[in-house]
Amino acid sequence: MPKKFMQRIHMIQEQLKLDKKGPVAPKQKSYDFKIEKNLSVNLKLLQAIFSKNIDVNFREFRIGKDQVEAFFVNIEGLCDKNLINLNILQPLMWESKKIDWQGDYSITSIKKSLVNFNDVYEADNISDAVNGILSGDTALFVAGSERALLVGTRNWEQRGVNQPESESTVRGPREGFTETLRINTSLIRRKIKDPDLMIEMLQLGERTRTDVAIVYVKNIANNKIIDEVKKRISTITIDGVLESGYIESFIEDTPLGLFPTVGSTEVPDKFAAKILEGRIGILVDGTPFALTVPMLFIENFQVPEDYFVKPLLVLQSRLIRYLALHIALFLPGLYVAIITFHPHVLPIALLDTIIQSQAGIPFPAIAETFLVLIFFEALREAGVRIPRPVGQAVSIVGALVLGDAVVSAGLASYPVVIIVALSGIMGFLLPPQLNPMLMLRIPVLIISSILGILGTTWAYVMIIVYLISLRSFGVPYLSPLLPYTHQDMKDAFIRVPWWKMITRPLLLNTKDVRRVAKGQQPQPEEAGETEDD
Amino acid sequence: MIKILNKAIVIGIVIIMLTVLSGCWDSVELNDRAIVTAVGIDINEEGELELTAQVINTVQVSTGPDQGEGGSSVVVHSITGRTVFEAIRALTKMITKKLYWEQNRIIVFSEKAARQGILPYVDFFMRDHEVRKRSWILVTDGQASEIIKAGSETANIPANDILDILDAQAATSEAAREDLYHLAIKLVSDTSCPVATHIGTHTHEEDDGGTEMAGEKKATILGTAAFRNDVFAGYLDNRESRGYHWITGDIKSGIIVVKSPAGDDADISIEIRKASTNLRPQLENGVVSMKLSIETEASVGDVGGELDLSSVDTYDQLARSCEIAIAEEINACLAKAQKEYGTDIFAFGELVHHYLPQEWKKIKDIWLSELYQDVAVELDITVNVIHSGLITKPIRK
Repeated sequence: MPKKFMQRIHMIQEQLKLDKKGPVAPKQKSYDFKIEKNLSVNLKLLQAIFSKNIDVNFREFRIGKDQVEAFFVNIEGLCDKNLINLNILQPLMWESKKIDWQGDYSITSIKKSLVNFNDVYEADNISDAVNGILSGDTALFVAGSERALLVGTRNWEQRGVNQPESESTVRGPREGFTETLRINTSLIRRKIKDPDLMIEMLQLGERTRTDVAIVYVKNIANNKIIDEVKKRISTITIDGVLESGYIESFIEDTPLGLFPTVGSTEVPDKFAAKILEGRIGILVDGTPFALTVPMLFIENFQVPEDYFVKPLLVLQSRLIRYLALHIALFLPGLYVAIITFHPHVLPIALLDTIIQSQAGIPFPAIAETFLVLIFFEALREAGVRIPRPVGQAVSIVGALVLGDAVVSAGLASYPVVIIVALSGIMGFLLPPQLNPMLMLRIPVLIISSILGILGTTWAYVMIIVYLISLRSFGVPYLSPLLPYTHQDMKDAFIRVPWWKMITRPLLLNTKDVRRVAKGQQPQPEEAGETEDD
Repeated sequence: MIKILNKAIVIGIVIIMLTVLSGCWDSVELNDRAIVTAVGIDINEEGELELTAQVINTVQVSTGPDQGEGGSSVVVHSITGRTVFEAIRALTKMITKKLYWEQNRIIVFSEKAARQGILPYVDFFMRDHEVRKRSWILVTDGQASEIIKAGSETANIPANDILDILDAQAATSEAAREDLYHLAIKLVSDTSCPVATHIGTHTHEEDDGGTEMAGEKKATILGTAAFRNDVFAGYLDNRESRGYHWITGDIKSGIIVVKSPAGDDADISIEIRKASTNLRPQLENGVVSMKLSIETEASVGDVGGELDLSSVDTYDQLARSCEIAIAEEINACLAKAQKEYGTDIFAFGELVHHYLPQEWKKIKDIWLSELYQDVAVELDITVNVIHSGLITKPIRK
C-alpha cells in the first residue's frame, strides 16, 4: 500500500514537471450543448448534470389552455421561493389561461407577457443555464423552444451591512462591505453617482466561478493602469477564489515581499475615495475585503478619518504612525546594540538602572530579547485566534502574570520587557497590512546584535533601498517621498485642508487632474459687516 | 546562475568587510562589564602609583523594583603599579568583569601626583581608545582616593554628583574646568598652560536627620588648579577663578557683591547676565602687552539697605562699583597665576602667536621663562546695570 502511494505521488510530480508552463488548474467540466426543442431531452440532460445533488429543485408544470409542458430548475436556498411562486408559477399556470397564445409558446413571448420579473435573460446553451442555476437564478424550459429563460431569483441568507471590524473610525461612515458583491457594488454606486463609474464584471476560479468586479472611474483612471490590472487579472487560472487575498497574490508586484503593494480595505468610503483619486478597485464576491491598486507606501499611514478631521490633528497622528513604524521595527535591535556595543551613549544613571535590572539574567541580551519577542508574538497570535471570552483570560495570564513572573524569576529584565512591549504596542498603531513587515524586527535584531548600531543603520538603509526599488503597477512605491514630488506631499505627512487639495495624486497620472476648484479658502467676514448687494 | 552566484559573493564580501573592517566587533554583555565611573591617581608613601577606580556594582541579584535601597551602587577598588596601564591590568585580578572606560567622566589627581607631572597619565588616557576624552580633570589637595570614595547625596553613583556640581559651577563661574581632550591640547602646546578643577572633601559633622550619615565625606569644589606645562603650580581660590574666567571670556553667570552707593554700608548683589571679553596683544616698542576689554550686562539681585533704584544715577554708581570689583578679581588672579606661579593659563602666548606671528617667532623660546611674568595687562571694563528685578523701590521705606 505505501508503495502504491509513493508511486502515485511520483507520477503526479512527473506530470507537474511536464506542464510547468501551461495552465494546469483543474477545469470545471464544460457542458457545451445546445438546448433541444425536445423538453424531456433537456430535463434528462440537466438531471444527469446535477445527478444526485439534493439541493437542486426540478419542477414540472404545464402552461396555458394548451397545457404546454414546461419545467424550471433552481437550487434551494439560493433563490426566493415566494418570488418564484408569485412571479413564475402563478402567472404561468393560472394567468396564462386567460391569454390567447395563438400557438406561440416561445420563450421570448413568455418573457414579454407572462414573467413579471425585472431581471431575466435568455440562454441557448445548457452550460450558460447551468451557470445561472448555480448562481441562484431559476432556469425555465418550455417544450418546443430552443432557448431557456433565466430569471434572477437570487436571494439567499446574507449578512447585512455592518460596522467594519478591522477599520473602525470615530468620525465617518459606519457601514462596511459585506460578503455579497451586489451589495458592495451598490454601496459604491450610492457614493459615486456618476455614469462614468465603471463596474466591470468577470468570473474567476475554474470551479468556484467567483464574481470579480473591477471598479474605476472611466475618465479619471489612467488607461495603462486599467489595462495592466485587467491583463494581470485575466491571466489568473486557479480552481477557486475564496477571498480577495487570492487575487492579491496573483497581481501584486512583490510576490514574496513583505510590503503590501496592493491595498485592501473593508470600508466603502475609503474604497470610493481611492477610486476618486484615480486608483482602480477590485471587489470579490464572498469577502468584505476589497482591493485597490496602485498602492503606495504612504497609504499605510492614511486612515479614512484623516480626511474628516482638522488637518493639524492629522499631522500629529500621522507623525506618530511613522514614529510607531520606526519604534516597532528598530527598537529591540537598537536596545541590544546599545547594551552590548555602545553603553557609553546612555546617561550613567540610566545605565546604572539597566545594569541593576540586568544583574543575574543568565542569557545574553540578544537571547533575552528574542525570547520575550517570541513570547509577545505568541500572545498576540493567541489573542486573535482564541474565542473572545477565553482571549481575555489569555491576555491577562500572559501579560500580567507571565510578564511579571518572567522578570521576578530573573529570566528577563524589566528593560527588555518594556522595550518589546513598546515595540509591540507601536505595531498595533499600524494597519494590519503592515504586519508582515514587522517580521523584519527579528532580522534587524539579529544584525544589530552582531554589528551593533552599525548593523541597525545598515538594516535601515537596506530596507529603504529595497523600498525604493519597489513599484506598484508602475508607480514608485516610496513616492512621493522618493522620488520627491512636491505636489503629492500634500497628503503624505500632512493632509492639507480640502480647499487646498487642488489636484489628484500626480504620480497616478490621471486623465482628470483637477479635483478642487481654486480659491475656495473660507474668508469669514468681519463681525458687524454685512454684504449689501 | 553565475550572475546570481557572483552577486551573492559580492554581498557576502561586503558583509564580511563591514563586520571586520569597521573595528566594531566589541559585543560584550552588560553583565560582563565593570563600568568605571571615576578614577583617581595617587602617589603613595613608597612613591608608587596608586590607582583608585569607582565601579558600578549590582546591588542585589533579584531585580525587584525597590532595588538599591537608597544605598550607592558602586564599589571602589584600589591597586598599585608602576604605570597606569599596569595598575589597570592588575585590577583585572580583583574584578571578574571587563573594565569599561567609556562611561568614565572623572579623573582625579592628587596634588602629590600632579606635582610630579601629569604627562605620563594623560598619555595613557589619550592613547587608550576606550577612555572617554571628555572626562573632567580634577586635582585634590588630599588623597584622590578620598574623592573617589566620597559618598553621594542624591544619586546612586557618587561620580554623578561630582558631575552635577561641576555643571552647576556655570552659575557662579568660580571654578574652571577642563576636559581631558582640551587639557592634552594645552599640554602639548607651548603657547598655553592647562587648568583643572580643584576639588576637596567636606565632612558632615552631625547626623542631620535625613539619609546622610554623620562623618560621611562629600566631594566639594574649591576652585581651580593651575599647571605650569604638566606640573602642578598652585591653586586659585573662588575669586581668583572668576578672574580667570573674566580673562578667558567664559563667564556664564555669577554674583558680584558691592557696597551700596547710598552709603549705609549695605551689601548689594549684582548678577552677571551677559559678558563678553575681548583680549588682544599689543606690541609697543618691542614690548608685548595685553589689552583686555570686557563688556557686561548685569542686574540687581538683592538690595541689603534702603536703596532707591528708580534713578538712573544709582545704576551708574552701581555699575562703577561693579567695574572696580571685576578689576580687583582680575588683578588678584593675575597676581597669582602670572606673577606668583608664572603659568600662562590665560593662553596669552596663543594670542601673541595668532595676532603677532612675527614677534612670536622671536620670543617663543623665552616666553614663559622670561617675558610672560612681566606682560602688562591693560583693563577696560564696562558694566551696564540694566535691570532691578520686579521691584525698584526698597520694600520697607
